[in-house]
Amino acid sequence: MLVLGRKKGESIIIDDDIEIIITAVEGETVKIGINAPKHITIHRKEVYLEIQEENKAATSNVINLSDFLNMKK
Amino acid sequence: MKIQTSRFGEIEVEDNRVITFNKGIPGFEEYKQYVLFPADEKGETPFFFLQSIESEEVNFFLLDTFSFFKEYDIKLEDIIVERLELEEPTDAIVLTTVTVKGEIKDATTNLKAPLVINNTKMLGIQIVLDNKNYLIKQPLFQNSEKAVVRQV
Repeated sequence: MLVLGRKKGESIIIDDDIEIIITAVEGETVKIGINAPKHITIHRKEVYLEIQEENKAATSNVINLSDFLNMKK
Repeated sequence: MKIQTSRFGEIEVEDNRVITFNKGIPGFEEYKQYVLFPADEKGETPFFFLQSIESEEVNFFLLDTFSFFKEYDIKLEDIIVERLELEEPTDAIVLTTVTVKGEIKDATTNLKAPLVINNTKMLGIQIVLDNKNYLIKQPLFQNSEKAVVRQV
């Protein structure tokens, strides 16, 4: 892993067209601005991992479907 | 075409009903093609299955979110509209995954990350909403109209 030191207002460029800017540093929190092409998807990692886990749980369901199917719209 | 599924056995899928998720679904990035069908034959419940064409074990149990949470609303970013090639809002279907740990009354749905499908172009994507009110584990039977009805 590459680790770079950056100050507020400084940025890094990844692969010509992705720019990551340190916009603020407040205690333990760093605010980051990202300029990237539209096709790049950006997620907070912990949210993304949680969604992966939730999707997995939605497939391995051992649901008693009849309970759900008794409900009408 | 006919496909094998672990839950439904062999099912017939018309080619024009195959939905492509170009980026896959988080946790299942390798599978891109799915078919959507109502959980009951008559389509009277708000539930659906999304079955992978490529893996017989992979299917998701989904909720037609708008019919269940009347106040649910999402705004699609331009890039998502573009990726789904959406021309009419009415072409979009919004569904959320349902999970059940234990009893059915504890069922939850993932309002944070709906699946959006263009029902005309047959393209799908799972998006992540930047709305703190929408939970990954939103209980289905609390604060919903149906829960109220059930208590009466």
